[in-house]
Amino acid sequence: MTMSSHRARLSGLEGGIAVFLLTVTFRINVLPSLLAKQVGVTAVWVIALSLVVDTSVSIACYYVARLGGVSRLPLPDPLKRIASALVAVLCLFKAGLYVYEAGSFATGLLFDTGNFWVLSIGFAVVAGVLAAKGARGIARTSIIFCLMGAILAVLTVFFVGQEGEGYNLFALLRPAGLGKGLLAQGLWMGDGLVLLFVDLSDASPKARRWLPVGWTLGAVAVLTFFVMFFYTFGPAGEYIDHAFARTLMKESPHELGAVDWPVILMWLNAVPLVVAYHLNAAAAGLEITVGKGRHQLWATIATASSIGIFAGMFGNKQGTEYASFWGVSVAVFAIVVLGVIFAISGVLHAKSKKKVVA
Amino acid sequence: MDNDVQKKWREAFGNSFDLVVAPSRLLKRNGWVIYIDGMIDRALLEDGVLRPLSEGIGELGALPMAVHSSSPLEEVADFDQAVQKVATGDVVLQVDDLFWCVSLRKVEKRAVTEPPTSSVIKGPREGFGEEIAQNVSLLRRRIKDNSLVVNRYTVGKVTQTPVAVCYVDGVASKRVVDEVTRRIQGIDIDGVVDSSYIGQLIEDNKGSIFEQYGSQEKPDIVTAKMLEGRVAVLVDGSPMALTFPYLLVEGFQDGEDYYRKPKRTVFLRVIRVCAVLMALLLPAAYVALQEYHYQFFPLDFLVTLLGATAKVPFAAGLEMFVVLLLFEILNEASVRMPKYVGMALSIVGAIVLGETAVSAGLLSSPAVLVMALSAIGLYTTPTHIGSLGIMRFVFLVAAALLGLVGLVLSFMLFAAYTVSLNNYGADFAAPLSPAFTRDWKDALAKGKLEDMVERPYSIPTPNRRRISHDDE
Repeated sequence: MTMSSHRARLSGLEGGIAVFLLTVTFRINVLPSLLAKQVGVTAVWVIALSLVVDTSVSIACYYVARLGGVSRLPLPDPLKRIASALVAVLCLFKAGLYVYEAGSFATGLLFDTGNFWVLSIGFAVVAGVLAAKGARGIARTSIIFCLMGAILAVLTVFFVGQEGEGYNLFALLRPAGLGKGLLAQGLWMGDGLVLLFVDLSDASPKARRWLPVGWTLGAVAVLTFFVMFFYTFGPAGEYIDHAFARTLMKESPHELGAVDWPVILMWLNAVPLVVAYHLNAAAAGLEITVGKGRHQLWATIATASSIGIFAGMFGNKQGTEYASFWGVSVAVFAIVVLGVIFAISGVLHAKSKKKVVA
Repeated sequence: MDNDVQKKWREAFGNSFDLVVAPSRLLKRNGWVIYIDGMIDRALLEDGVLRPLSEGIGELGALPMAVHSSSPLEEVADFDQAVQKVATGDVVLQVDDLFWCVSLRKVEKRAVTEPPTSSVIKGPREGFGEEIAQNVSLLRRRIKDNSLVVNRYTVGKVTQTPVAVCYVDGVASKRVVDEVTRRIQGIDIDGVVDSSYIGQLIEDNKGSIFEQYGSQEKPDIVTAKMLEGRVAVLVDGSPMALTFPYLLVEGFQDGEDYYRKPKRTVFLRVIRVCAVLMALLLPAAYVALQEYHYQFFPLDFLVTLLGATAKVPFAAGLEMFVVLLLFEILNEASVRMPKYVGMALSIVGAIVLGETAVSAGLLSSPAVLVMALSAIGLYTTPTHIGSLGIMRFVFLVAAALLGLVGLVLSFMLFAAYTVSLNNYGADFAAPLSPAFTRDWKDALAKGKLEDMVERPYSIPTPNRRRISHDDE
């Protein structure tokens, strides 16, 4: 009677927390800047627009998830496999970016360890373990995270007690290049896509009334995401200056003080969870691509072990700067495509072997 | 013939000195009375069995009717079964090759007293004893309804220990009852000397650092748990009742919580949670902040800290590790020592080790203070001391190696592990995760009794409703 870990089947609450984590937590970071009037009017519109698009993506993906996720969409099988592979690659890509950020030089400096690889591998391992437990495992850990976050918020109010600094609580991953527009934002959008691979079809029978709306929104959201992603693909590399330590309205990590610890703790908690969601989605996408509808451990292991390498390729040796973005991206895509081909050939080989045995 | 019977019985028991094989007249025939000395009520044997049988006349088939005992005289099939009966404390009567047994057990048992592990200011003071029949009767006194079902099994090839599975019919999930029963019947072990044996043998997630079964010494608490849908297991010779399924939050709850005003209970539960978090994370957080993120300390405190730790020759992580290890050694020694030596040991630990180590500059006073706070916090939830005591070291090592990053990552793994545990169809971390919000009124919070309209959703039960309002 032990519980097996399921990739699919989340309760409505667990799905809601996933949406919250994947969208709101990471995009609400702009609020302090707006309230503190640190960004201009143009940026306000940019932020508002990006928030609307990103929230729409997450909600749409959530509805698709309530219909059973990608695996149940009424699409021709080859199309479904190609779409799954593409989204899986993007999820992997995003996971690599997050891990790079988590282990980057600025973060390392912040924690006075500076060891990019150790930090990267640490985040990758934790995210991998979470992903191996499936969407439900991540969602349930997210619940603990949210409860801890609530306690942290209360503690912050008690102990920080400095006007304005409370906003730091929401300053998660605030892009330093905020005023640089939609381009830099684009690359960090679309985290809600991971919900496409979650099965929420048993959450509520009422959801079935929204079938057509869900499909339409899902399609629009995915299209929007791809458009924005590819539009921002090249220039974004120049603008990304996303390392956490530079997001806290501080010139240098050494300026950090006692008031910043709640943000740091929340950010540290959020990153492995979001990476785990991406890993989980990437693994599920790979499974659909190779025609397997249920949890395959190899897919999780393959994706988890890949993101460390990707993260390393995004940055230079010291983890201080992003490497040539186009070069890295092409390399990443090539590796993943090769991985998918390898996986498919492996499965086909296994099937032919099974036939021989039979 | 007489010598043969004696010899056979004596050989069966390895010539044990307490085996009594006495010749006796049974319905005017030559027979034998066999029992273990000290395990039976001699007066009952004399007055209720031997006297009527020695005076009676009739066929052997009338033997059971001739005995004056509340326990029936039963026929036993063969010698081997008769040996088994004697071993379990029954009296066996033998005439030629025919055997009968009667239960005249007289077991020494202690009185029903307040258990030392869970004394209360308000609430019942009764605790379970070592005799299973007495323990069952303590449950029956609280549930005076035929829905209380008690099934008895025997476990242990050598010890032949009686085990009782108790549940409230219609409230406990049949799946859980069947699963507990199946696992108990499947136990293949030579002996069971305590209920924890059964607990370890039938629990889920055997490799888990958390115990996957509840153990309680008070019948009122066990009754309350059974009324929520849990199954209780009583084991002869053990005052600890086991309950299945078991949830993490149970460790933060106390029997007395339900006998006092809810607001006070909420306050105390919050204190317990804070204390446990402090016990678990404070040593690691202290090391992470001191070693890597000193800028997070307020300036005044940082100056004090630097002054206190300047002369300590160890790194912060190693220092805390040594302090915690010393505490564990002292704790273990004080538990094992006789009481009067234990007192001396406390003095040695507190004064000689603590004071001297600090004044000699080997340890810093903040580290000793952190350890003391952590130790006190841990003891607010005695159930989880074993598991959380270990995790404290894991977090410490992670924080010493990677600072706050290590602490957070190790905590994430710990949280992921905890929420993935499931025992007997219930999620271990419920109702926190998965979030059964309806159960939160009796998780870390505590609502009014009349608000507990339904049984917890965290526990499988076929009958969710526990209060029927008249207006419904």
